[in-house]
Amino acid sequence: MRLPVWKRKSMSTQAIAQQGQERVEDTTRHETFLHLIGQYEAALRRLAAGYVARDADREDLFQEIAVGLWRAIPSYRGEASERTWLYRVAHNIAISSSARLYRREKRERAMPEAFDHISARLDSEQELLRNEKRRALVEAIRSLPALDRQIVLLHLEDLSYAEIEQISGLSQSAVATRLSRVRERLKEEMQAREMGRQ
Amino acid sequence: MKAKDELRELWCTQPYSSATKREDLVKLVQKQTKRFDRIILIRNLLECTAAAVVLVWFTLFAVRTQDTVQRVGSIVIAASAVCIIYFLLRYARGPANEDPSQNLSAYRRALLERYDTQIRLLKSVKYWYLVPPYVGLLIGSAGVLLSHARLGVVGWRDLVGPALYTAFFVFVWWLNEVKGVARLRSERARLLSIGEEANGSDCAD
Repeated sequence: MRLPVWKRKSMSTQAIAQQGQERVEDTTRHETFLHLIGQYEAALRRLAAGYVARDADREDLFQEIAVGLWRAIPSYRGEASERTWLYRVAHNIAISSSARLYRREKRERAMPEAFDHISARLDSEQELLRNEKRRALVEAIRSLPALDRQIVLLHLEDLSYAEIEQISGLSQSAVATRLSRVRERLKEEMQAREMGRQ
Repeated sequence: MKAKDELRELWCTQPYSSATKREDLVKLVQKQTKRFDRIILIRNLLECTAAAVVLVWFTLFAVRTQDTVQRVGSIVIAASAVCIIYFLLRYARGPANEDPSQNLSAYRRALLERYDTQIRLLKSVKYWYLVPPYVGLLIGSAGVLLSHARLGVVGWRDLVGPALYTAFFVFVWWLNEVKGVARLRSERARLLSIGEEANGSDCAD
């Protein structure tokens, strides 16, 4: 059965309008995504390093976070700041991927760890020393319980206690208590790891 | 504060290699999103098509056969295909999308609930996916066996079919309820260790 001409016309106008709307939304999403990646790529890559050791796994996790962000952009309502929202999404994706990544890492534990390619580029002794410290820090962070790790990662990215409260759901006083304990633990772990290498 | 600043400085000066360019990342992300949606769609479509084929095949068989027992078996199988299509469409459409912009504790709780739902779904597979068609097949096989007995041609060959589909059903049950549930439980246990911390008394919400 053919629809009356006027009805078909109005439907096609609707369809065109909907297509146009979708295109606008796609463009906005595309631009928002590029803006977020441009602004936070380094932070997101550091976050991935806080969860997994190997370069390939970091890249995978970074891409999974990127996919998560892409999917989450349309639901961003501006209730939280862009940064708070982004870290929530990123940490949540990292957590939900961690079980799978953990299994893979366990299976392929024999593989060499990250940082090896970096050390080759470093020339001065001082830089080498800093790189050792950095490696000890990242390893120590990865060895933390997940919630402590998330809090310290947010803290190291310079987020305020109020922002960490919004992201983690912990109260500011709980964040402060945990952070001082975690910082102590990190220092001890780093020292132990550095001593272990010497 | 010096130690804290040093940690921050060490953390923020981490060198990293960007394996993917930003524009390529957009393409990759779009591709992966579409691929994921397509995989879920194709998986559900295949399972529903298979169930629909089973439904049509055994309905036709039920209409055409003269043997009452085989007819009953075919009707049970056809009905179980309807039941499977319903469950697939209703409960197994693919992973539910928890809102990743919730706070970390709420998201963990949502993830744990999702694991529980998936485990319950896998443990219920025998009731809606395996037992109904298996019972139908058993009735159908009994019908074949009875008709062969009437003709006096019962032999060991009559048991090959039931043995094969029994092995297949046991394998599917094992894949879902033993292997699948064990994998989900280990992933859930890892999440639970995080969840317990997050659900502690120091939560803000």
